[in-house]
Amino acid sequence: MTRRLVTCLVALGLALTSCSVLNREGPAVTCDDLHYGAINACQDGIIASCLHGKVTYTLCDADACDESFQVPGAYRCAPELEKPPSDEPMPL
Amino acid sequence: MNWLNVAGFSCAVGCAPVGLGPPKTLDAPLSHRTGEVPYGLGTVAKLEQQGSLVKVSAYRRCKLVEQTVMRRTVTRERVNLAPELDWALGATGAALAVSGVVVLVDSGSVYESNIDSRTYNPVGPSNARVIGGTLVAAGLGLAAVALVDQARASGFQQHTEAVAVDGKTLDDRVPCSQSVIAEADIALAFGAGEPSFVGRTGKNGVLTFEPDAFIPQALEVGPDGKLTILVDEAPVGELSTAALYAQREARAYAALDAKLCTEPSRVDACAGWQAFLARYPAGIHAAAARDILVAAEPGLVALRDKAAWATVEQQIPVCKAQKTLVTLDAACKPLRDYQATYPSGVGREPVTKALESIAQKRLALEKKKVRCTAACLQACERGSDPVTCAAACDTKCTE
Repeated sequence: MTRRLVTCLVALGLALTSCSVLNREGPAVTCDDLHYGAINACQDGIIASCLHGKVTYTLCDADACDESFQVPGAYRCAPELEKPPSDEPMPL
Repeated sequence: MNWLNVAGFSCAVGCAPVGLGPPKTLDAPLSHRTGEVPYGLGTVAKLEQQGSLVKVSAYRRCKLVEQTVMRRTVTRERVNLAPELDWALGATGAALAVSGVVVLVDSGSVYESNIDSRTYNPVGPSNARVIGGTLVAAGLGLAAVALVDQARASGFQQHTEAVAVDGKTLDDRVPCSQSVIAEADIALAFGAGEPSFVGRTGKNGVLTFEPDAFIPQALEVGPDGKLTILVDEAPVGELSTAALYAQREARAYAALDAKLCTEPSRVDACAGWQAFLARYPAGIHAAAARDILVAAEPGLVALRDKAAWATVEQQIPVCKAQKTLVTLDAACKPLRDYQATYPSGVGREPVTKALESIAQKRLALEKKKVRCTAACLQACERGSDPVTCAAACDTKCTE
């Protein structure tokens, strides 16, 4: 019992003191995956877009990908923001 | 910034108070001796007689005890008087240091804080290292305080000294040789008389005085008497009067004139010598005084004879003029006394002649008395008391 408690406390301490818990990774995609700008992708609050044949990333809030206003393939950091820049118009 | 100052400041803020634990004593006997130990209240005096002077040394009272000299080792361990503070500091410091290490190790896994990158961490690896380092430093700092306290509270304080442990008491009234009494009142008493204040001891606790100055000259002091010394009204000892007696005897002897006595011009020329002998019969000059009186005796006898003859010479005609037996015997008694005292005195011949003539006169008076008495008794009435009659006749015939 005591060992478990100590283990939990150590784990909690490590979790609290590890900066890597704040690491965020955007989607690992290519322009091909994004249809060369036709769609974008979102993961961990980072939106991946294809601009001029190159994948670019936009940092949003950590839980931005799961917001209710999000539309798959047309992710935005905030509802009022313009769609992410792209070479081609996004499909409706 | 000076690290020493930082450490000092840290310690001033966080260091626990360090004190000493209970003493542990270890005794090892070295030697034995006798020693003085202050004992109660009271005064003990040393009295010394140097000729006619008396030296009084006043001391506090001590007792003389057997002592064992010990080598005493007293050990006191240093102890942390507030260990809970160090426990808190140490635990907090350890937690911070471990956390700092974890942050440092973890900093290798922290992504850059580049907003244009696929990976992102708001802290970034360099900041994580700074945080980790800071935490480690802070933890070590706090732990250092606890460690310093641990070092401060380790070890012991020890000192060794030689101490004397008292044992059996040998005498409970001895002078404390290292503790004299200054300004002590010294008084002197002779016999049952009132004490006379003599003076006060000096800073060295000593007063020297001459008893002769404090005992009235008129007081007869014998050689076997006692002088009582009082310190602060308490009797502390007695001295023999022998020295005072000898001093006064010598002074009285020196004041007498031997020639006045041995070549007397008056009957009382040796009265002083006689008084001296009466007062100092056991003095060292008593024999000399007796010799002087013996030598003076013939001269004194001659003077007394002369004086006695001057009185007796005037008594001779008075003696001869008496006409009854009673008055004759009374008036002539000085002549008979003189003859008995001075059988070869200056008035020997006139006194002898006077007494011879008086003897004849007395014989005639006695015969007359016998005749008178016989006639008187015959004349007594018959039947009267013979005793009363005889008494009446004796009275009648004596006149």
